[in-house]
Amino acid sequence: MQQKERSSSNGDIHGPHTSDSILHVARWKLRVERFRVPPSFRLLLSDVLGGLRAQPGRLLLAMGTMATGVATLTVLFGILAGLDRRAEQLVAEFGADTIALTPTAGSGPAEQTLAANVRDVLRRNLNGATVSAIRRHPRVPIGAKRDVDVIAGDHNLAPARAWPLVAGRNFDPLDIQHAAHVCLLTRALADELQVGVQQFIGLPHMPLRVVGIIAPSGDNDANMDPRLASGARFVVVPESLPPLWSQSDTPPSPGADALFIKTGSPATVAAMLDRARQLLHGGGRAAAWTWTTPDTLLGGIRKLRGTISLSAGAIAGLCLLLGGATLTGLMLARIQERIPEIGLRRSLGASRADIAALCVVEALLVSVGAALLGIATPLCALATLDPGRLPVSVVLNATVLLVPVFVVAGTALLASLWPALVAARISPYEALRND
Amino acid sequence: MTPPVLHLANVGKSYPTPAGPVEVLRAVNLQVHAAEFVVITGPSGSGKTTLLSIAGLLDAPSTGTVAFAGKALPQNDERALRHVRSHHIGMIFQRFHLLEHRSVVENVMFRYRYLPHDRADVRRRALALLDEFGLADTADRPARVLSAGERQRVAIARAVVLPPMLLIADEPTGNLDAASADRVMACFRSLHRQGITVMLVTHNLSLCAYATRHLRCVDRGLAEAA
Ligand SMILES: Nc1ncnc2c1ncn2[C@@H]1O[C@H](COP(=O)(O)OP(=O)(O)OP(=O)(O)O)[C@@H](O)[C@H]1O
Ligand SMILES: [Mg+2]
Repeated sequence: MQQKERSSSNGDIHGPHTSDSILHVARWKLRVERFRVPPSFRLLLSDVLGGLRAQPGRLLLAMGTMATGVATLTVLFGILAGLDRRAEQLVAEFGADTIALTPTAGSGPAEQTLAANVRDVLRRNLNGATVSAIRRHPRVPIGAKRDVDVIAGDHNLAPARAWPLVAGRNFDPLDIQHAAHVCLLTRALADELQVGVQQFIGLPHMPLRVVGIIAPSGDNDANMDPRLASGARFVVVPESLPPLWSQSDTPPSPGADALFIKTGSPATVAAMLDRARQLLHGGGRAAAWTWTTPDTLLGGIRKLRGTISLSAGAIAGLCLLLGGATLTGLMLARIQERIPEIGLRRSLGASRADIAALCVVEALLVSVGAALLGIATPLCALATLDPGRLPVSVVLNATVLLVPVFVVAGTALLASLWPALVAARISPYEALRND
Repeated sequence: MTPPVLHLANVGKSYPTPAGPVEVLRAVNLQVHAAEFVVITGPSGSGKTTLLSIAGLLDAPSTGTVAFAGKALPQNDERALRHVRSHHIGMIFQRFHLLEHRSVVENVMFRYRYLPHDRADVRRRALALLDEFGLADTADRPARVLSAGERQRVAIARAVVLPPMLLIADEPTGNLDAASADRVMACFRSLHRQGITVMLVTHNLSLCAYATRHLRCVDRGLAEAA
């Protein structure tokens, strides 16, 4: 810009070389017009850095305030991102296209069990869905370090829960029909027991042949009903087997602990849910069931997310207001101190825009410095802390780290506009007067 | 004939105050020609600084016109004013106005801050000039550690490192003792001998010895002194 302006208005006024009497100053005369344009931004930057170096104390104060705001924001955004990931994992384990029914606690003993025909009603009427029921027998000793859960189901269970088979085969209808002494093991458990397909494991009073090994995305979560969660270590047996291994005194009731409907696609969950409710409602039994879908599963997380978003928003707003006001005050004070310097710059050819740019770039530099400091702090803290000991999971990805930087840079830009205007309007004459 | 370096025609200046406008200058006519050394004296408050700031294009006159090297400069033509200011006018102030935290040589080089330039070349010039003004040893010290006399010589070096058509100085010796003032005035004399046009305001009548022309600022106007 300097360059263009020069060449446009140059030449109308003649330099000292037009006067014979001062020709000998030509040894000094620099042909400023012809030199390459300096990277003017580099000059601006060094001006700003020079000015900041002169007042490191103030600079640190302002940066500290802003960095604190950025650090808080970063952590909050990190928690939000952590919740999102948690939600993804939860849905992945549960099944994005899955509906679960569990007997409602407190409903009558008769309703506590799933009458065998409920499953059949659903299976017959829900086209395209895979329906399966489970019965969970907790803490069965099988000679491993810890007891395991035994889950009784049919050949539809593994497909309905989307448990991938990594070795062997799933149950077939004959296994169920004939109450074959077979089982599926989770990979974690198979590794622990060091057994493979076609080998035997010993449940109390009953040896079972391993026919398949499955790999559920097992990652038990506190947010999930334990009846719906599948841990990493369990045994699946045909539901028709008499539960001789069961530790509980009460004889098992006919029925199930939970019933799963796999609709085939997340998009059909809502429609399938309505249909299933209608079917059971016809029998007057709908109220006895608790219905769980990916949506209801995420309800708690959503609520938490909303709360944190709100507080993050409030803090961002406060940061914006306080940080901005602090910065504006700081800049105004600095301008008062630098009035003679501003006058000097104007007398050397700086335009109002040049002076304003000085302020804006200074504010941006301080704020981006503060932002970097502010995101470095939680990053370092997370690197040194054991993530398992944090009450919430914090995920710091590029988005989480960049958003606060932009928020603060935007604030700085706004906050520096008024000081920049003030600085630009300083009259060079007033600025340079002796008094 | 070469036009005057500076031509003030009918220049008046009044400042608005709560009690109404205060007239500081009225119908001032002044032509400063190349290679002149004009010294302006006058009582305090007579408008000398006001006159210099109009001559230095830092302030606009309320009435009248300003022409530089034969070219009229309308006050609303900010670009033209800025061009003349940055290329052709060197200014020196009673308070030096150095950048305290920068080195002496950087202060001199600051003259080129808003001009395209070759840094190495400007630095060479600045160092040569500092040498000429007896400041070679101070080049890399921060400006804040210098004495007043040294500071003023640095300020002069800054004003002339790009040889100006008009060098304007407002009480350059006002903050200096006699010895420092002499060294500063020696710089002015040397610059004038090299052909630079000087316009200098002072309360020190002995400085008139250096002048080719002596003006007095009285009664809101300028008068040739004997
Ligand atoms: N911005 C302003 N507003 C109002 N009055 C002003 C302003 N600037 C200068 N004046 C007045 O104009 C008059 C001339 O001021 P100026 O600074 O030009 O005097 P001076 O001759 O340089 O005085 P000194 O020798 O003390 O430096 C003074 O009375 C001053 O109060
Ligand atoms: Mg004055």
